[in-house]
Amino acid sequence: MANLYRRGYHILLVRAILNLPDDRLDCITCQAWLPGYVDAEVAGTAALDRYRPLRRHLLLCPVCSELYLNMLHMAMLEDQGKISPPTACPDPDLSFLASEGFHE
Amino acid sequence: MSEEIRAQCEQGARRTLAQRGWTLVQDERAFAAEVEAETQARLPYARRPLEKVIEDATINRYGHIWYAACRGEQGSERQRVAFIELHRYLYTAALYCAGYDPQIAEENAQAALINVWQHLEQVRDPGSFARWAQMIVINEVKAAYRREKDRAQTAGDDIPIRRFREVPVSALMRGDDDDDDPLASAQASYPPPDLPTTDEARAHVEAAIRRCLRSRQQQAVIIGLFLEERSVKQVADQLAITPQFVYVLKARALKRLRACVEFLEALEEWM
Repeated sequence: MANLYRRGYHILLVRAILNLPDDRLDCITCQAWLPGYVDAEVAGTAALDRYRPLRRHLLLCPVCSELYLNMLHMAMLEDQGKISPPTACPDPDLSFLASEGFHE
Repeated sequence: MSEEIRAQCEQGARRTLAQRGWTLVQDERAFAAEVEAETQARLPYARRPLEKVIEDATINRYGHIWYAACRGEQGSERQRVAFIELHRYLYTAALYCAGYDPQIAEENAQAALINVWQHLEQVRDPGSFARWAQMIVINEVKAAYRREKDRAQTAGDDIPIRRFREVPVSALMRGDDDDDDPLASAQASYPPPDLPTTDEARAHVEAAIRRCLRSRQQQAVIIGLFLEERSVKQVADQLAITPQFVYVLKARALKRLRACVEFLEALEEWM
């Protein structure tokens, strides 16, 4: 096990075995790209190399993977037409649109 | 692209917009051309029926229009319409997350709407704008339930605590485990794969995984995710189980592998 720590900390499977966090992507960056990844998963295009860092993070981070699973679940239900649209939708309060300079 | 496919794109785009009540497209012909181009770009990768690829392409292209309208002239009619459509979308998602409780859904769809408006600059991929907004409403509903739980615990209430609608148990458990144990800049500089450097080394690790894990599903999950670097959904589709259950199997398999000396030794030799 000592050698695993010393020499293999960069390998994904070793990190998972040792319960080490992802050292290459942080949660904020992961969640910024997550919506596109979920859409790509449903569309069947997520195998592209551009998502490798994200896939790695999702295998190591329990917080992001929980969010990912909830999003993926909803996206798949949507795709299958299984989320029924409401019969009635309340009117939103859009008064915030009248104010200026609210953007961060 | 043949005329036939072009016609399918036009029809498919029109149908998708109508079904979802999306009205922000101003130039239908230009939009159809965008959907065609997006469809063409996706066809080599997407393993879906053409009809679904066109739907995906339509949603993606509409995301760009939607996002631009939300960021458009402050207080304009177009921006108002964009936010009304977004609210309807978020309310539907919030209703689902809240187990169809309209009060929770209304409060959190509204909170998410404001949150979206405040953080529009953070959208990385406008084509997935709707999914990004959905992520925000999921987080809002979860946070609301967390606050309610904290309040109830602080007050010592005995009333039952409502909970965020997690992935349902039925979805989690679909499929059987035969084990008896119950981004752009970052991507540009991303290092090469962590895969074993030789077929022999990889085969050695894979053999150890197969010997240590009795469950064939657990073997397939660990090998698929970690050695072949496939996506969770790909592995789920291969095994005909849900993505949620892939994570359950992964956790069980890692627990077993941590206790398997043969596997740990194989891993050390590989490195």
